[in-house]
Amino acid sequence: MGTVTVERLDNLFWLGRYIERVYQTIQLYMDGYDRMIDEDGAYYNEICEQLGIPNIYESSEDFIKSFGFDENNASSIISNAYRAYDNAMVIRDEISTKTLAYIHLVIANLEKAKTSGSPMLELQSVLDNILAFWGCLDDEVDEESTRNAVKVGKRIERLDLYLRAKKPREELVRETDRLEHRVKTTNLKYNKAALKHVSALIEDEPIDYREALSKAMMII
Amino acid sequence: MDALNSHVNQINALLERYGVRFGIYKNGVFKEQLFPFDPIPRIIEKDEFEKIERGLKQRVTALNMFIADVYGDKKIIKDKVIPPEFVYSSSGYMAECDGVKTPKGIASHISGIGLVQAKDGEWYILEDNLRIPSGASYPLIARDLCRKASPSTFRDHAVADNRDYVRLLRDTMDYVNTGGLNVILTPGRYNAAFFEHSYLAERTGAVLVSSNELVVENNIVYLNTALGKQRVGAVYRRISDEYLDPLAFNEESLIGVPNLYDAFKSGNVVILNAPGNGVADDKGIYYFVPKMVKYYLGEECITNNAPTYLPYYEEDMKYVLDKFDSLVIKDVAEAGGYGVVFGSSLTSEKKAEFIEMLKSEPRRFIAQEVIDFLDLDILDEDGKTPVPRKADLRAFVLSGKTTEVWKSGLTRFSRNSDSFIVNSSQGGGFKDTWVLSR
Repeated sequence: MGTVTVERLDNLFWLGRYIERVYQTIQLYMDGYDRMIDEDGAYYNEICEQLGIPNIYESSEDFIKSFGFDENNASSIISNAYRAYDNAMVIRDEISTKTLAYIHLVIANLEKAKTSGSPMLELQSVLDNILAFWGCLDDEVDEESTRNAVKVGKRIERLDLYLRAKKPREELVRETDRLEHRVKTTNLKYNKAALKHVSALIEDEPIDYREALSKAMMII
Repeated sequence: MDALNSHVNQINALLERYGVRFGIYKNGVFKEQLFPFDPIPRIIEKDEFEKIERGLKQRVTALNMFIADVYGDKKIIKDKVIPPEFVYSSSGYMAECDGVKTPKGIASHISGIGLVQAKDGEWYILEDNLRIPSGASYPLIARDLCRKASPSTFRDHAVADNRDYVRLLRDTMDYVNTGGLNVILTPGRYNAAFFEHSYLAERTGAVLVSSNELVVENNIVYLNTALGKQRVGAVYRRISDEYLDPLAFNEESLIGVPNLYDAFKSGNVVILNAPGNGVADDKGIYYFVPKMVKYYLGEECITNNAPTYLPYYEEDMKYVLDKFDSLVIKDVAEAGGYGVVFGSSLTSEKKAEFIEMLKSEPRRFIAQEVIDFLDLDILDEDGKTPVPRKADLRAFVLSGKTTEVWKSGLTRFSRNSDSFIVNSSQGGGFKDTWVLSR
């Protein structure tokens, strides 16, 4: 971490956030896709509400197409994958060509899924690529604080999405603990008070998810 | 070799996987494109390469002496070997560099020399690139991937390992480093060669930086890290001279580092390659390189220039006008395959217009005999049938403690059967270059 500049630290962090967003939203999308086949055609409304994204979709078909693969839709899975790529490609020398290759594969498989007759199968490959990315990061990057800057991005994104999804307390506690553990091992500047506040809020009964989310957004 | 050809799809898939691309602007829109790779290598025999190597070392040594002289004592001008107007009217000449001495006397640390092989087997130099020659990373990573795809090919052929480029580049940076980090200064991810910048940083251990990550204080360059400032000793810049420092050169530059040039002039940091080198790779100056070799080294020039004429000289102008249709005319200010006109390709109206321009601005052009390149086979689009195409070679010469020629190089080829233009920006592809080790 000795030669990592603030700009690159930012790239590491946002790489982690975006790639986690892709990972989580693909799972949500796959689940929604399945439900909308024969159960609830309007289920996409719930997904939009849960993620806090603009509901610009006219139908479930429109959602399937645009939320998945429209690069011009800033909330789409593919847009988030490209933002992960933007951050990753400028730090090739930090994360290694081998690790970066998995981000290339994510993009390539999403592009394939866009025109595939069975996009879910391609999306499964994307999930595999992301899991391999994390494994490769651990294996290829010697500098622990560099790895952890990416992982903090992952943890904060996951906490954000879990709070939006109103996940049960035990999952929120686990994610907050993981975030706290990671962030201490990086040179990222973070708001300790906000993190402490989130930890306290998720212990409350009932949990004030909205307030916890607003505090979580202040951590970094 | 057939084994390698049969793996072309796997090799290209690996190149895609590792992001081996170049950026290009078309109609104002930035796009990243894969650089098409052809698996049939250019093969250079050991003896043949040794001759090229001797010639390139001699040439780059003389060019480095020329740069030091032109910005120093100017003996070559005073002794009337090169007319002053060719030096001072060169777009690459920078008055700001006058009187500035480069650390360890080296100005061109990484030189990219463009060669072609004629059908008679003779090699000719087409251009010298002493500013920011790019392309070494492509054969470097391609070799790595080819070895993965077809290990038996490399077991069965004695090919010099080109992955040595990483050591050569690192040693060059280390040798001239004035004390501190080695950094590669990139204009950013929207630069055509960004892949190369990031890949070479990864492989050499240099830090990839953009201008806003560097700061100059009291003529010392620092990298602004998350933990504080760290001194920089060598800047391998991939930014053109005029954009390198807005306070020294083009004040509108947003990609340069303010006061970097002052730090360089103070000897507190080395810039690879040195600003001002463009004076030596100007297409007009190219004509004089054999004379430079004789002047500085007292030796006959080993490398061949393509037969070149300077319309600036009356005698040459007459020849160019007489033989216009059989010559290729090049605008000295252009690069990348642009500004190249084949006399035979012009209509009579365009030819008349062009000749008028030639007469009014003779210093702006050089004319060369068209060299009948030796075609190299590439695999056709079906991936199976070999078809002949024009190809050139960019050889890389690294000047540090010693001057060394990389035992490989970037072979670029035209994908159109009727074209001599091999540049990637104009649709060309690339091959690996094998130098046989026995």
